[in-house]
Amino acid sequence: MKRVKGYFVPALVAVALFVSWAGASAAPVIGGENVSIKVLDNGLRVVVKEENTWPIVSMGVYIKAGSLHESDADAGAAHMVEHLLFEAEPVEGEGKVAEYIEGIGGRISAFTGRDFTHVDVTVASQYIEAALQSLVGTVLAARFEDEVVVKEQMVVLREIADRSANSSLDMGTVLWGLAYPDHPYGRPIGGTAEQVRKLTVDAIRGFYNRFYVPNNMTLVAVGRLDADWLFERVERLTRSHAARPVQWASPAPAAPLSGIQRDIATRDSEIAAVVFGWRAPGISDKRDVCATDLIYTLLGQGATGRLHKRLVEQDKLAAGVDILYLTQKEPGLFILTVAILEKNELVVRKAVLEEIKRLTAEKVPEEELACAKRLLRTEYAFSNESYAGQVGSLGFYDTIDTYEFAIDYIDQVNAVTVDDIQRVAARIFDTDGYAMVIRRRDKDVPPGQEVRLYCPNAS
Amino acid sequence: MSQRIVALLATLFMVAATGLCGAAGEARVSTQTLPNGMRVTLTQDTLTDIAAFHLALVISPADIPEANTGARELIQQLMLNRLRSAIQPDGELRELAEAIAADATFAISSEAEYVEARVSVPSDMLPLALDAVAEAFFADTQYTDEEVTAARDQLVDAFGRAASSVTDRTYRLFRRALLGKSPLAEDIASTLAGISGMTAEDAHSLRRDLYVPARCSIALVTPLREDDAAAAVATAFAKYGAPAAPLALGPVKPADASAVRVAEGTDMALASMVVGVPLPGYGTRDFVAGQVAFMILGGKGGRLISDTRLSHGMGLALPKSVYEQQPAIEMVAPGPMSVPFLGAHIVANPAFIEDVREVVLAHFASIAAGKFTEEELAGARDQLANQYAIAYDSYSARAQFINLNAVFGGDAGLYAELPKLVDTITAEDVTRVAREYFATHAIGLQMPAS
Repeated sequence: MKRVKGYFVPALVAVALFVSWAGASAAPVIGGENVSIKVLDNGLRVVVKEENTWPIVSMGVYIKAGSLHESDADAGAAHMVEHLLFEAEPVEGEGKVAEYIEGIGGRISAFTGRDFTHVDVTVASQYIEAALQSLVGTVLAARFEDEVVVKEQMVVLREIADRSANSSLDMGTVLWGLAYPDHPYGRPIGGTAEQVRKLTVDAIRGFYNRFYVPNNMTLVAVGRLDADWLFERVERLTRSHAARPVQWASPAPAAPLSGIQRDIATRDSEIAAVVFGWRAPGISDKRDVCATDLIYTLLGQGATGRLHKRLVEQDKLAAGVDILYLTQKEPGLFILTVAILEKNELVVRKAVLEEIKRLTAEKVPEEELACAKRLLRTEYAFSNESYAGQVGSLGFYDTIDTYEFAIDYIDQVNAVTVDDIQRVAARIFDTDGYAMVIRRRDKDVPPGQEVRLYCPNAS
Repeated sequence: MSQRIVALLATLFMVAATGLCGAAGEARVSTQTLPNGMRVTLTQDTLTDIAAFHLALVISPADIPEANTGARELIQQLMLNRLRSAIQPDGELRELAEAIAADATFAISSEAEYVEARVSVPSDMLPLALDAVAEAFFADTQYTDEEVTAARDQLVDAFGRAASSVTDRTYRLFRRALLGKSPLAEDIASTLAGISGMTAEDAHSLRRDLYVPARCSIALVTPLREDDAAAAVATAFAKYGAPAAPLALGPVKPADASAVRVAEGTDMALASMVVGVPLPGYGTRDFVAGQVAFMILGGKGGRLISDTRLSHGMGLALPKSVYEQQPAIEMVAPGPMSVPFLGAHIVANPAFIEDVREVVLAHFASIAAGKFTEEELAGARDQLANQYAIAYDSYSARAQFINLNAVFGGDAGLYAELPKLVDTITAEDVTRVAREYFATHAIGLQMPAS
C-alpha cells in the first residue's frame, strides 16, 4: 500500500468515518438470527431469543384459551382461570407464582383476550431457573381450591362493575356485541356479571383442563440465557404433562354485517363520543393486515393522521380521534372513536365517512404512505425496546399464527403499495355495514338528520 | 472545512477511552472525552432499532448567584419553548414530531443537581436529535424580552401547581431538613423571587457562562457501532465550547444533626410527613448496603410497608379501596445523587403524628441494632438484584442510569458493578452502615392549620 503523508491521514480517515456514518445500517426491529424454536414431544412450542447484552430474562406462556374458546355455558371462564393462576398453588415449586415473583422483586403480569391468555414474568437472569419452574408449574399444574374460586369471582365481579362504569371500556364492549351478534368475538372478555355468577367451579376446572395442555401453548423467553439449557429445562419440567387433543372447533365465520348497527345511550357530559366499528382482516390475510395497520396510521396516528388534521386541527370539530385495530385470529374490528362537542356530532360523523371513502376513491400519495410506514416502524420499535416487549410480540403472533411474523412484520409492511391501501380500504369500509355506538346527552336525534349522514357520492 | 468535518476530526482526537467493561456479548461501555471537556459514554445494544441518550449538564442551585435563583428553570423553559415551536408537524424538526407521535421521547427537565435531556428516537434520527439538543443547550443565542416574559409566566403557573401539592411541599421541607443550609434545598418562594427579577440579559450571561460542554456528560445506548455513535456525538457537540477539563461535582454534605422542618397547610385535613436518613456516597459498596437496608424497610413486604399502624395512617378510618389507590405510606428509594437518602412519606391522623415519627424511627433503629433475620436480608438482596435488572428495561432508562453513574459515581461502568455487589452484602454490612448513617435523621412535616 502506498504511504500517505502524515498530515493527510486524519482528513482521509475523517472522510472514511463520514462515509461510514452515512452508510450506517439500522438494526432490525426484531432480529431473527438469534431466535430458535423447539417443539417438545408433548407439543409445547418453546421460542427462545438469546440476548446477552443485559442480565435480564423475560418469559411468557401464551395459551390459546381466550373468550373465543368459551361456550355460552362457560362464558367468563378464560378470564377467571387467568385470575386463579395468580392464586393457585402449583404442585411443586416456590408457592403462588405472583407471590414468588413479586417477592423477589420481579415483574409479573397476565392478560386475557379474545384469542388467548398469557402470563409474563421478568426477572434478573440469575433467577431464571426458579422463575421458570414457578411459571410452568402454575400454568400446567395449578390447583384451584373452591373457596379461592368464590373469592376470585367476587374480584372479577368488581372488575366488571368498574368496566361498566368506565364509559370508553363499556362502549367498546357494546361495539363488539353489535359487530358480532352470532360469534364468540361479540361476547365481553371476562363475561357479564350474570355469566360470572353462574360459573361453577367444575366449569372453570373443565375449561382449564381442556385448554391448558402443552400442545395448546407457546413458551417464549428473551434475554440472557442459553437456548439449549432452556429447551432441556422446560422439557424436564413438563415431561409429566402429555399432549392431549383439545376438544374445540373454530366457530363459523361471522356473517357480514348488514345495515348500520347502532347503540345510542345518554351520558351526562359536554363531550359526546361516537365509536365506529368495521370488520377488518384477520391474521390469515397478512398483506391485508399490514395494509390495515397502515390505514389506521394514515387516519389516526397522533397529530399527523388525516382525521386528526381535519377534525381537530383544521375544522376544530372534535376534541380527539383514536383508532384501534388489533390483529386477531379471526377477522377483527377496526375501531374509530371520535370525542366531540355534542352539537357537532352529525357533521363529524359525515366527515368521518367522507374521509374513509376518500381512502377507497383516491390513491394515497406515495410520500404520505412512506411517512405512515416510518411511523408504524417507529411505533413497533418502541413496543419492542425491552425483552418483555419482544416476548409479547413473539408470543402474540405465535398464538394466532407463527412467531416468524413478528420478525418479518416490518418487511411485510414495507411491501404494501398504494394499490393495497385502496383495495383494503374498500374491503373494510362498507358505509352500509358497520357498528356504531354513540353516547351523548340526548338520546334521540330526529330521523331526518340521521339520513343525511349517509353520503355515497362524497369524495 | 465544514463543521461536520471538524467534528469528525475531533472524534479522532478524543481523549483515549478511560473505561471499558463487558464480557463477550454483554453490554460494553466505553467512556471518552471530547476536546471541549464533554464526557461521552457509549453502549451498543442491537435489540431493536432505537437510539437513546441521556445528557446531564451539571448545574445546581449552588452554581447560580442568589439573586438569580431559579435561573436553571427559566433557561430550561426558554429552551423548551424554542424546541416546541420547531418540533411541530410543519416545523423545522417535523421528523421528531412524527417520531414523538409514535412513542419517541424528547424531554428536557431540571433536577436538583443537573439539567437533563432524555431522548429516545429511531436510530436514523439520532444525528438530528443530538443536533437539536446540542443547539438548545450550547448555541450562542439571545432570548428576547418577550420570550423571557412568556417563560416566566409559564413557570409561575407551574410552580403554583407544585405548591398546591401537599406531598411536594412536604418533600421540599424534608430536603431542607436533610441538607441544612445547602443551596440545593432551595424553596419555591426563593425560586419564584429569583425568576421574577431575571432579564433576558441575565439569562444570556448565565447561559453563556454555565451551559458549557465541559459541565456535561452524555450516555448513548444505540444499535450503532461505537465509531458511528461517537462520530454522531462529536458532529453535534464538538463545535461548541472552548477546550476545558470536565467539571467535578461540588461537595454537598447532609446536615450534621437531626433536623425537623415544620409548616402548616390550610388546604389539608391530614398530617403529611417525610422521614428519612442519609446514606453513604453513591456508587460505593456501603451505598449498596444502604439499598439493602431500604429493601428490608420498604421493599415488598418490608417492615414499614407491612406495619399496619403506618399503612392505616395511624388511626385513619378510611375504606380499604382508598388505601389501595393512595396508600398512607409511600417509600422514597435511594438513587444517584450527591447526598443519597432513604425515606418514607406518611399521611396520618394529625393527633398521632408523634407516634408515627416514633414508629418509623424505631424501625430505623432496629436495623442499626442488627435486629433483622437472615430471611429478611436474603429477601432484600433478591429484590434489589431484580430492581437493578428490571428498572432499566428500556433504552432511555439504561442511558439515564449509565450516565448518572458516570456523574455521581464517577464511573459509567458502575451500572454493571453495583448489581454484582448485592450478593456480597452481609448482615454486618447493613448493621454497620445503619449504625453510622441512621443516627442522623431528617423530617419534613406539614400539619393542618389549626
